[in-house]
Amino acid sequence: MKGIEIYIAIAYVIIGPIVGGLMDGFDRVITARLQGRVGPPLLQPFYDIRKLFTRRIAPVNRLQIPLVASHLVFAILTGVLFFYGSDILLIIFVLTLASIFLVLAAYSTGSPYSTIGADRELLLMTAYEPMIIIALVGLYGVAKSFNFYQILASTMPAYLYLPGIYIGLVYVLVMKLRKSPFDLSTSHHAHQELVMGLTADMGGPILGMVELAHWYESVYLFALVLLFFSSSWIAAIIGVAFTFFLIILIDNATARVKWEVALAFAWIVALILGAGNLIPFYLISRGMP
Amino acid sequence: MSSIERSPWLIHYDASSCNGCDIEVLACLTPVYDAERFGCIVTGDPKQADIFLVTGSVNHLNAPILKNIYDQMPDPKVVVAVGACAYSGGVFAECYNVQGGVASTIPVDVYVPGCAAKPESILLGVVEAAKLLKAKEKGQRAALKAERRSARQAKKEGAK
Amino acid sequence: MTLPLIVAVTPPLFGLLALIIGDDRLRRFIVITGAVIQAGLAILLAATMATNLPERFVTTLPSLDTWILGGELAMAAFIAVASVAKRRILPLGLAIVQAALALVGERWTGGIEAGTHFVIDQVTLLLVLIVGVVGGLILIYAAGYMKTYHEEHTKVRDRRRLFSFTMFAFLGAMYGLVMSNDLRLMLLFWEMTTLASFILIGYGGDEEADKSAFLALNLNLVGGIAFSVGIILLAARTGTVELDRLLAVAKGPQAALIAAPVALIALAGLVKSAQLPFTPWLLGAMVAPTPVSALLHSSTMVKAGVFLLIRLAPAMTGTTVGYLVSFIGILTFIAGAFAAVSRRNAKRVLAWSTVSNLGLIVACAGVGTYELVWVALFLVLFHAVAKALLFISVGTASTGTGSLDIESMGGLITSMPRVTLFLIVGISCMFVAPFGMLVSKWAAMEAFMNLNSLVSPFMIAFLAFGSSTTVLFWAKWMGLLIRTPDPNAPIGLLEDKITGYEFTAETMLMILAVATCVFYPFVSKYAFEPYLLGTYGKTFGLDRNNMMVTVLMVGMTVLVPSLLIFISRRRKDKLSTPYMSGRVMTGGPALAFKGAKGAELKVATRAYYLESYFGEEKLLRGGIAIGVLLVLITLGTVLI
Repeated sequence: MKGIEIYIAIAYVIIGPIVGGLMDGFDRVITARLQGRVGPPLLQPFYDIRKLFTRRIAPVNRLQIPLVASHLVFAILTGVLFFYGSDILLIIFVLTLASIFLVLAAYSTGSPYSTIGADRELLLMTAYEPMIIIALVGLYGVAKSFNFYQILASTMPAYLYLPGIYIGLVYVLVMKLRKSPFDLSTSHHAHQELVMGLTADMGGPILGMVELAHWYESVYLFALVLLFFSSSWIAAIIGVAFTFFLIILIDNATARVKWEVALAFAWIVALILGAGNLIPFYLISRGMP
Repeated sequence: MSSIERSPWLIHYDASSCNGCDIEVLACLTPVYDAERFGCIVTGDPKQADIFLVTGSVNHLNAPILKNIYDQMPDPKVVVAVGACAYSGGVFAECYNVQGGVASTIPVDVYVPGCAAKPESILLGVVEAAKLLKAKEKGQRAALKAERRSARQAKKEGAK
Repeated sequence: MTLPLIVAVTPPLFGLLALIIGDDRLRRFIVITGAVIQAGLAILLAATMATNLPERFVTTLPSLDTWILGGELAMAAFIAVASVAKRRILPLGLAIVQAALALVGERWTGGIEAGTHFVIDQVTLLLVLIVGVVGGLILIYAAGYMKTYHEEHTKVRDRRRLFSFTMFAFLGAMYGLVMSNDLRLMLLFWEMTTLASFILIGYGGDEEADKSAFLALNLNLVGGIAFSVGIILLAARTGTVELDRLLAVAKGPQAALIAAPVALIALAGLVKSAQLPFTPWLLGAMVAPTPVSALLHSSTMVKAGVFLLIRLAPAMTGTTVGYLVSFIGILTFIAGAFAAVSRRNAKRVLAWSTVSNLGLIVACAGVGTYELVWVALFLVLFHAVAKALLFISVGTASTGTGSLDIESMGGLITSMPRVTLFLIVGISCMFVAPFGMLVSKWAAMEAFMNLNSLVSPFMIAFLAFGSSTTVLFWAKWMGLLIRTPDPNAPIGLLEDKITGYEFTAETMLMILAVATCVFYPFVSKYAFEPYLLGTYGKTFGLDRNNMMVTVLMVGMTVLVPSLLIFISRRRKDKLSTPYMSGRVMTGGPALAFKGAKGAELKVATRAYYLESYFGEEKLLRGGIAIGVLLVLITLGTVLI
């Protein structure tokens, strides 16, 4: 059993983008159908990224490419650590590190669009990080472990014990996947507000790296959702699919909010639903061994 | 080999259009005409765009801006001039401020006629532009290969 | 006993030398020599005493308590004179109270024969190394910085002899403090640090410096008075004035007796570490020259407060006093994290961050389980090094840019690349995984979880919210530093005023900061875990695999971006300009574009400060109010 983790981690590095790209493709097709359109072919994200990497772009300064590349490297590293079975709480901080690289890349240009985009991205990170920490602590309370495989093996239905945390986790996903109503820093094209905000002045391979990192992140973010429903196969499949669809639905049904609203909403939910969900745990679990 | 034909990203610029063509461009994105089935995405950053969709005519104020956006787009790129104004100035061709169509400032590859141009025409124009992109890219790659070959040759002869 | 004595006495001797030598260059030489020698002695002490800890010492100095009394009275007299000279009543009153308590205390405790005056264990050595090495590097920095300081601030009287003397004397007092087991001795050194802080904060000589110096003096005197009363109560109730005996009583059936002394002494620790409601003194202390802020008010003196609380942790664990102290700590942690967001003055941001991190250490010490004390010790280590690096780098940066405003540090990577590197390493050490502070915060979270008490969800929630906010203000600052609107600007324009001493100190601190993040598993295994085993009977360490992961990641985090940046700088391909909605960019140092009618418009961006949400005034008012309430409750539970 010990050896398999490294193979899964390696598989993640190789197959992860394919899974992430397919998820993105499904996202776009489902969004289109929800809007009554036909939508692009399912493999469109792969055409997009192949096109991006064949472009020859001149960066704005000498820091952009190294920082975005570091962002990609650490995004992959986060997933690798996750699937290798490292402490998930530590991994969230590595995720923060990866996001910081992207934010720094945006700051480095000095252009007002990317600067404001980076500011908003930091605000979003401040907004969702308490909730994600509380979510992981809640998972630990249920499964008594921070290891991906051990939580997976646990038979406790986390979603029943941690409903408040699940709601919090949904909005964390909405923020991290840059979907409405929290797509303040950058968003799907045609929803832009700040000329692509965080990813302004990033074209060609630079944007390609950001997209790739985004796919890697989607994979382990949904693996995290999987952990919530890990008590049985049926629960897992339904739970992940439901969450995926729910996020797309929220994306289509809401309009972008101001950052004050995003921050306040996120923190209030994290405090009341998230931390509130933890309290009974500590009351109950004091009796448990 | 490349996917540029299947993933044409557009940047749309209204030079001095009356917004008639722009509304039709917007209509292309709606469910009735759905440009996204061709993989089109409208982006705001020229560094991420392949196709430059221009409506309206050119005057001395927007000429430098037009050129600036065109220059910031990476190669290969295609310009699509939508509507009569973008072609020649349209009904405003003889106005004191109009310098002419888009071609007076940047090289245009595809013209979409109409006043306002129909969404179907615009989509056809975009699809043609995508095909042109693919051809340009092929040409670009061939030119690059030739350049590298001649550079290697020059090195060899210099070494002799 | 000889080596510890030499370690403690060497700095004041060099201080005396510095006091009497008038020639600047010779005095600088003395300062640097002294700094290096005392650092070397500190390392020597740690190396030779590393095994067979803890070691106990008794001095053979006759009538030690008379010496202590004499010292206390002398200090009270000095304060009284200074208060009268500046026409302030409150410090005069407090000094009189302090002197009276010293006399009263002498009557109560004079007869007690101490068993052990000094103790050296792993915690002592940790502080000794911090004082010695970090303090030494700061002194080297000060040698260069103060020269430029007086060139810039021509109105300030040049009292560098007093400055150097006080800095050295302060180091000696710190050594004495961390080695003390007899609480009366510790109090003496404690008050000496208060006095040193008072002199150094007031160095500027203007009204603001005086105000801040007296604020710090008043609050710390209050802390000292609490300390005195605590010692007297301890002697009255248990007949001892020693820390180890206090801890022994705490484990026994008479533990309730010492609740009041522990609360009072903990209060002194809270004051020294500028916890709410006593935070204003540290904020005011930032008017002092940068070496003072770095040495006293981030790395060493404020660490004395948390050092005392860590020592008291076994007596506070599981008690009401402990939980209340812990609550004060976590409250300060989050208030500090929030307040730092809205501040534009770099030293103020660092001050709030210091207070916040000290609050976390206090929160860990208050709950005091062996796991949390492990976390607290590491927080002390990582924070002391990283904060010192940040303070002195900020000092250097402000010399170059002429301002302490964070906004003026925009684009510093081009104008002062080396200083930017120091700042980025320092800032990363404070909040970025896998560096030290983050590892400690992670361990704190795990430790609070394993506590399995009702306190846990609150602590975890506070920790989560506070830690997320730190990302905001640190990353915002880093973003400002690396802004490069003009890639062709000349590099290093503002670095010519910077002295070699400053660069040397900053480089070495940077290496030390990274080294602590890499070698911390060894520190854990050979230093902290044995201490915990000895004190609590149980030991804790992060899972070895996770520690290896963090160490490897430090390597990656340092190497990957550096390598990529290095490669990228070698390339000579063309750069493009940022997209400004099609506006033509005009060249030049700042981003500028041709606006309407051909006018050139400069682009100015400013970071978010969120004054209405994280405003300092609101937070201070609320924090002080709640802090006062908590202190009153704490004292109330033990004294009533």
